Amino acid sequence: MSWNSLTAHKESAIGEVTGVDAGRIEIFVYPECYPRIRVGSIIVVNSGETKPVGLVIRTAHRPRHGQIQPLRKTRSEILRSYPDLDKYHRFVSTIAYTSHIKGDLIFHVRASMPRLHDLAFLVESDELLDAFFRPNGAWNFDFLRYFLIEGAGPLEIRELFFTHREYFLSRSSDLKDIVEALTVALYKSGIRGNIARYLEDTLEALR
Amino acid sequence: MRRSLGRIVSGSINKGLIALLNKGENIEDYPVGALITIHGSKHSYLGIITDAGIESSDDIVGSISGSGIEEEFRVVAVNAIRDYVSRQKIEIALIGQYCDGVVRNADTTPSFYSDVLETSPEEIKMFFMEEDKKKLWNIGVPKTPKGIQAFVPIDVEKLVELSFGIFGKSGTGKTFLGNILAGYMVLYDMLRALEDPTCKRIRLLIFDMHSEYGLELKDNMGNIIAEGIAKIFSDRFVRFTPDLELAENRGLESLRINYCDLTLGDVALIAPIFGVSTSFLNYLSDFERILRKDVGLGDYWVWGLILDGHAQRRLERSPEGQKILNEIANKTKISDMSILRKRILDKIRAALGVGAELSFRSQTSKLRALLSYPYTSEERAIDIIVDNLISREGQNVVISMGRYEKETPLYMMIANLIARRLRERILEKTMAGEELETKIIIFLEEAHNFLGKETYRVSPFGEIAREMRKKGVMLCVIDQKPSELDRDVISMLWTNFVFTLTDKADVESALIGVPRAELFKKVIPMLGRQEVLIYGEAVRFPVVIRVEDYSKISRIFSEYANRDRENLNQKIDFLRKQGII
Repeated sequence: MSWNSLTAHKESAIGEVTGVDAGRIEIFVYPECYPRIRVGSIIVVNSGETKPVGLVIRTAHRPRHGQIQPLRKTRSEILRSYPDLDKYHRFVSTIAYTSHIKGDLIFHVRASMPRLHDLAFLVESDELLDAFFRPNGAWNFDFLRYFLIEGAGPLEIRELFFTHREYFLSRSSDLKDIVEALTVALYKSGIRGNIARYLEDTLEALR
Repeated sequence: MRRSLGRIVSGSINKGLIALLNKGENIEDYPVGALITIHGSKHSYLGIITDAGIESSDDIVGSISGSGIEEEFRVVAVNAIRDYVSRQKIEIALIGQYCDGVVRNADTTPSFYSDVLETSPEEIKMFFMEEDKKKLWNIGVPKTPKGIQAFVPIDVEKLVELSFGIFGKSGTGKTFLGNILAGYMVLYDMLRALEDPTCKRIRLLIFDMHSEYGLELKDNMGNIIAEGIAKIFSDRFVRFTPDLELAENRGLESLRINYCDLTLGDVALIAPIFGVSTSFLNYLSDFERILRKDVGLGDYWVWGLILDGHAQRRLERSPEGQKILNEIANKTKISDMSILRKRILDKIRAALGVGAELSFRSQTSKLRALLSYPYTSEERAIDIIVDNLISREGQNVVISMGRYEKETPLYMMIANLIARRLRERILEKTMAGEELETKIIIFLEEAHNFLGKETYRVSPFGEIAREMRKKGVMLCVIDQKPSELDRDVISMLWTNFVFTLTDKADVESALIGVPRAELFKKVIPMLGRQEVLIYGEAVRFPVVIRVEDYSKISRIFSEYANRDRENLNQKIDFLRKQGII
């Protein structure tokens, strides 16, 4: 699977851009896709030639209008009574803009900003995860510099690895290389005294 | 294009420069004492690494090391950021600079961020010159970070001009180097004489405590490695030994001591080694006077210190001993040495009192070791030695101690006797207005016995060191404890070869007179076996080299010696055919 094929069909989109604020992009997540989105999910925004890529740093879910009324029902009972309830809710994910795709190459550097309503796509295939985490065939966590600047801490990093746990575990023979690249990226991000905590949390997530 | 190893970031010419190594360099490749080149913006510089180290600029390593991360991942993590958090630095003493085609001592500092490079073989030649097999002879390979193959030559012409020193702990390679230097001096003299038969000849006098110049050099296990220089150039050396058995078995000339030649000073120098008391030493000049005049022993006064009935029986067992007893009997009119001993004690008691008598009685027994040395009533050997040294037609001389290698008093007596006779003969010649035909270089092992703080003023070698330089007598001072040498002696040495020394006082003494000595203090204790710091007149710049394997150089010496022998045989054949001999 290529980056182009990921964004080729609008039906595959999981949401669209509803706000851009410096390094943060707000995505309205289509309700049916909401359960697939987690902290650490990788989102590609189709903004034409240059496609911004980011990691989910925050997810939110609020009523679209007014206040929520307590219903005292289970999820299945609610859906039976109000099949279109999701239309009145707002599912929002905030991503930290960390990378961009140009052509079929990914760079862990920011480029142009997306526009409102640009469609967002979720990276789930191992092939594209590989392309993201190992852009030139070598492990590269340089995107963490932006993730951390936008407010991620040890817990978000842990969640990032936990979100992609299956993928990383399938490459457990590379674990030392992963730790090496992660350490360098954390160091370059300005993490100093508590770098060990980040590493410990990450390694725990991958056990 | 050579790879950059690092960059100069701070320092000064007097305190040394600091260079940070580039990423990818391994500090383990940078030994103290190694040469390094610096390309400044105007000049090229040559430096010696005087210190090397690492430092961590962050507590991050501590945080990872102290964490609960598994060991293998901790190592991976720390190694991942090592280039960011650690710095590898070397301290460099500047020694030379090259600009506008001229090589000279460094008097400027390379500019900030100058490039540090591996010294190339071409630069070694540029700074140290190249072997010409006339006056410049390869001595060894300089230490460099990556171990290049280039030789540093020693300027033998300059080396023999002035006294020089070889210092280093036991087993570091002093004797190997001494043999190499002696060999080069022989070659220099041989080849120069071929070009200019009228030139002043060089004569070596080697005091060879462990018989490694006269016989063979051995490794630390006692295995023979190669022939000593006097054996290789056997046609150019006369080898003497006080070990009569060795002389007979190995074809060396025997060297016996005539105790009549010993002066009060000689006895005063060796007596403490036998453990005599201070009180005895205080009385010694009185004892000498009494023995010489009152007892009538004259020049045989030293025998008066040790003779008694027991000694007489011992002397009677050898023809030399019998001759000595006869001489003493003629002088004193006493043939029984027990009676002579009694007369001596009576004279001392009468002249100096009971205390002196008791001192004489108890302490002279400690001097009886003199009876076990090879003594004589004649003195031919010393004169033959001196004749060889001061005559154009003479040969080099080595005194190999053989089985007496640990007998310091005997060694000192021999050395002092030769030194005194040599000095006397040279003074006679110069006073008579004659020009000396030879330049003499005396290799003196365990030099502190003669040139120590207390002995320098009283030993004949002290006089040679002080007075004889202008008359062409130089010393090669060899010692493992330079701090025990008189400071004046070290100041007289113009080239020094310093193997490893660990005692602070020794290191400081070995560096007396060296500019920026503080920088080199760190180098000397770090030298490995066969590694030597050379500085002074005979090398253009201070340098640490690994001395070339003696067995390899000895093969070159053997080739020259064989050619020399063939030439000599051809000349002899020619003279025979002409009926001249």
